[in-house]
Amino acid sequence: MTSFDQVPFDASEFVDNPEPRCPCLLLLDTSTSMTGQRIDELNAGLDTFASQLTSDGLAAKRVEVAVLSFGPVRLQSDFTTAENFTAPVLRANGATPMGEAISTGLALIEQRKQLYRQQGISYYRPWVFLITDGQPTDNWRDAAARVSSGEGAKAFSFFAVGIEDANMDVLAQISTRQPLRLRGLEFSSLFTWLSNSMSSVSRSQPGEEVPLPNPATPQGWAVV
Amino acid sequence: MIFPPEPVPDPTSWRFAAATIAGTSHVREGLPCQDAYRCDVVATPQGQVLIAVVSDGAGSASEGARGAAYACNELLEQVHGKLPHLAPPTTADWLKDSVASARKGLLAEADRLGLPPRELAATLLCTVLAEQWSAFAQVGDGAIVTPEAGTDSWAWLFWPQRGEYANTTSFLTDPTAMQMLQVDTLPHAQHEVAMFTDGLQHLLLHYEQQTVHSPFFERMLRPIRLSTADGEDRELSAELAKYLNSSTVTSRADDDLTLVMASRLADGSGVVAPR
Repeated sequence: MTSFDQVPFDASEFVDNPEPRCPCLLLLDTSTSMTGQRIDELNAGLDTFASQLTSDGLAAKRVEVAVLSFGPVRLQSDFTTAENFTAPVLRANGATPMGEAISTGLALIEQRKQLYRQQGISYYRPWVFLITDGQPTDNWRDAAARVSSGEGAKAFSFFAVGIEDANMDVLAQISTRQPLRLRGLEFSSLFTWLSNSMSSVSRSQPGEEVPLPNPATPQGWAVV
Repeated sequence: MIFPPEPVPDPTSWRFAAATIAGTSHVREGLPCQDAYRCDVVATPQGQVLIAVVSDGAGSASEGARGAAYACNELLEQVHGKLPHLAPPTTADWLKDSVASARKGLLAEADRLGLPPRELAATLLCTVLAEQWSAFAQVGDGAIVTPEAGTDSWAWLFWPQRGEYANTTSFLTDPTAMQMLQVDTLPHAQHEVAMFTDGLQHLLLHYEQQTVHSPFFERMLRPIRLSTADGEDRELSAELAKYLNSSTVTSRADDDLTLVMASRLADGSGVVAPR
């Protein structure tokens, strides 16, 4: 007929593009020195991480987590959205091939990006989070060069965290951002912070820089 | 029953509906709407010209809303000023010049406010449709779409400019803005156009195939084709704002949303009363 309907604009159908993804790769030291309380706290922290990410509906669909342990290098869990992520139970055993872990991890990130591009999925800058209590037992200089060039090209953001007697000097040579030392074994606060940060990043809009809470305050999980 | 004859819209006159609303995420965080638009129908000796400008102020810019509004006003003025002297253009240089002037104005405004330009960062979409030619310009994301002649499928002019990452794009205030500027000019009329900011992008564009979701525009343009308004149909604009604020849309998009739709066509269906 001639007049408008009550609601002239009623095109309720839309394209259903997949959610943009926010990849987060955890590089976790599982060398022998992690045995005991350290690995237990780390496992508990991972559990916290998994459950906190899923409690945020949007982050659960957007944040993708992968876990690569080293000692020896092993892909514990390939990239999967937070809602499908189950924290692996890590066991401490072996040397600290940190260089190999970093190189393998950065290659994983690159593969993941390629997959996103092929499938027309937009994505945020990936985060790589390295946690160690020691120092590399392999050649780490190549890996450090890759981290530095990747950071320069904004291919990812690389964060390094040292536990207790970790060699912070080597970490500072690997990471272009200042490495942080974990306060005690506060893995739970660290992973809560990481989960919150990933949630903020995963809902950021074009042109928006996400302000991250400083973890090195007296209440935070890090000491500089 | 005999129906009185309905007024048949003049197919050469432009009608448009436009709305911009604050995103639910902006409302939650107490941020203002940082989108802006200007739309104007200008009478020239060569007939009516539609000028439409849309801008999305950057979330990270403290004065993003001001930047977006300023960019729209300034570019509209620039285009307005050039129209009387314009022969049917064969290149888009005049539009590039207009954008360059608008950009200069925006940088001067930042300077006047004592702010770095990035605090007024905003994207830019511009459409100028005359009876013998059409021109388009874009910096950043969002999109301008038009129907493909003789079909009911719609196509984009420029794919939204994205950096590698979902939260990066180009802005008119960027030092590289004039390199990022995309312009196009067509030697024929374009009878319909729609423009929207990035908040609606993922609902209206297929990312994987890089195509426009045409059914949406075919349906949304219908009331505008039927409109007998002169220039903006304010009733329809109000309805459009209501629609953008409805849960149908806001459950899928939490950013600021702007949609401008214009037509100089009359829709055959239902316009002419049965005899």
